[in-house]
Amino acid sequence: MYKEMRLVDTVRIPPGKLGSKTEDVIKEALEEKLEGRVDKTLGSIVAVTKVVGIEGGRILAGDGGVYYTATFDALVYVPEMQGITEGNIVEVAEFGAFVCLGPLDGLLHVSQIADDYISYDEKNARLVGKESGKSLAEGDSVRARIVAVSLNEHEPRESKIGLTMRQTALGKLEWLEEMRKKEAEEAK
Amino acid sequence: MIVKEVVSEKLLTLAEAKNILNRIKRARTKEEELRYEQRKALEHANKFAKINAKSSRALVDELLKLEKMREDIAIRIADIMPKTRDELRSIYAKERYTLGEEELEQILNLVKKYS
Amino acid sequence: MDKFDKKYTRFEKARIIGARGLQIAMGAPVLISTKSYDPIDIAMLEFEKGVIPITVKRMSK
Repeated sequence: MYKEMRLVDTVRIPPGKLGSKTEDVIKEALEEKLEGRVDKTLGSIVAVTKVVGIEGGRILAGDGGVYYTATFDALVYVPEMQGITEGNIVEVAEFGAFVCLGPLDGLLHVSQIADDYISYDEKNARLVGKESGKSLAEGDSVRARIVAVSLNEHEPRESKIGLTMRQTALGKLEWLEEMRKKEAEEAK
Repeated sequence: MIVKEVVSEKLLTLAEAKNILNRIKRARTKEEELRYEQRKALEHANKFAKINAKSSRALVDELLKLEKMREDIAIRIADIMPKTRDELRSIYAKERYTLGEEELEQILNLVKKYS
Repeated sequence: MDKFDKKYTRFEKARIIGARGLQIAMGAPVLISTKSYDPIDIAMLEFEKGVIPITVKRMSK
């Protein structure tokens, strides 16, 4: 789930940039410092959208830079435990599939795809269910539940989000569509 | 925390996030391109946002008028746009209470109105 | 001499010129026209003209 957050942080403006418009250099410095970073309490900071207030301009002994405290708005993505999300499969491996959930990817382990024995079809880079014949390949869109979140602040791209589709009304969007059709027919 | 302070926060629907990302993309065409994560988020939002930002917010506002509705659930409903009871129930699966038939129908009808 | 000598103590003056000199040495844009290449000289000239964008916050009183 995305959030718009109003945050406060301090940034250092190097002396070489002091000539330009303060607001612009501060926004640039905040983007440089925070975008793409992941924080355990906040989530993944996707973008700094607007600087709303600038305070100070402190000079420290021995440093030619100037430190500003800025209030700004940011777009943040939070992978919420138990939350249902949709995404498309970006990579299929023997142990599961990676699903793009926004700025971060989640892992759908083979054991969490469906109530079926799932095997890896290496030739076609697909995961196939033995009994149901259901298959999962790169580019497929799925709906899944987030069941594990482990954010890595130092290596944002190493953050791990675990997904499951082994519940009612979860799975590849086509499966859901089929389920809806079946239900509609039964209702008749 | 990697910043000093959080002043306030507001939950966004996927459609609203998509608008913000598209605005950023337009603003940053010159020298700075979008970062890897921003491109990913934008592609994802463009693909999965089901209605426009304005209607998604209107739906959330209407959902919030219902009894026992929480903001995060309303946002989730507006992102997923469930069509069946099972889909809606899955959103509520980890909540402490379950919805009655009537409440399910009420929500599904609101969703239908906006899709 | 001029108002800046009265406004700042000699310690503050040294700190301001020092900080400004460091900024200039590290590439900050110079705010006056001068032929000098010495950051300290430039900082002192800027100080005399009163164009240094630095103020002093006094803690007491």
